[in-house]
Amino acid sequence: MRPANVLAATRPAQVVVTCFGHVCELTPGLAADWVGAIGYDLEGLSGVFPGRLQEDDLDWAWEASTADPTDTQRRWRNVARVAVGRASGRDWWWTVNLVRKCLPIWPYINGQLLLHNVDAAATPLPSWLDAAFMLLWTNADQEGRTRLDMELSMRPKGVAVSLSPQTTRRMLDDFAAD
Amino acid sequence: MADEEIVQIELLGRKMDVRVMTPGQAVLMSRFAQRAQMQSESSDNPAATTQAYSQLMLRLMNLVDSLIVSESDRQAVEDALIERKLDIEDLYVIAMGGRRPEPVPDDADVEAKPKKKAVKKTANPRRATR
Repeated sequence: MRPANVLAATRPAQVVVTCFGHVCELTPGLAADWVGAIGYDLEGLSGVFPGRLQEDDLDWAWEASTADPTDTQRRWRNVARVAVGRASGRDWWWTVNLVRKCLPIWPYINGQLLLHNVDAAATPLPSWLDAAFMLLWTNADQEGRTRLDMELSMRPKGVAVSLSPQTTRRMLDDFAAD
Repeated sequence: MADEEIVQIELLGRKMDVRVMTPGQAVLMSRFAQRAQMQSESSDNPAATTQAYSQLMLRLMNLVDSLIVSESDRQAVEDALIERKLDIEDLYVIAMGGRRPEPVPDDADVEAKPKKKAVKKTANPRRATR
């Protein structure tokens, strides 16, 4: 059932994903946990899935991984992307791109955010992403802001995202209104 | 299996083709190793510790079995395990595609190397006289 709160969907308390018909609730965590897990393997996101699986799901994951490693790897990457999207309340590639941008300059980003009382170890991921984005955005000039927006919205090569009928309809409505 | 990466490793005096463990499998193996270590640290019961480590060993054997390409190599590894010619570290080496874990350096030995004195390059005498 849809919660009567527009922010609830983008600020989830738990991240639940389904893989091979198995429903898993990932280990809850704060921004530092998620950023670390995403940064562990920015391409395959294996730090997110199976990395953030709870203890009880490890044996199931192991069975799946030995049955068909290549197919499992592909499906796990897809699940990890969905998990990042759900945990952050944004497109997964936007989140991964922001983490990719922040990690090499972590002492700067984290230091600046700490000065503003945004501690990655005490802040939920979506809020931390808001803060990190605004820090980069406010410190950039007009050209830099446009570049930042483009950089974050860029999907990795070869990634196609299928749009839901609702999204397609909304896009068509927007187009017609324009 | 499509897109699998295969490397050649040398073990038991033979060259073996081994599939590379997927990043997800690597993550799971480290979680299992962590679990075994936590169980052994939190429990005073040696039987529970042994059970945790034998579970880890079984998983590792299971993994190695799926990674070795040739049936004869697989058999050789199984025989060597029975004869105790291979241990848990050797299984890790197979799973890691032949890479042995690097020894942990002693922190007391870590120090900055003295900078080499910059050697002044002498100008090409022939060019200088031109």
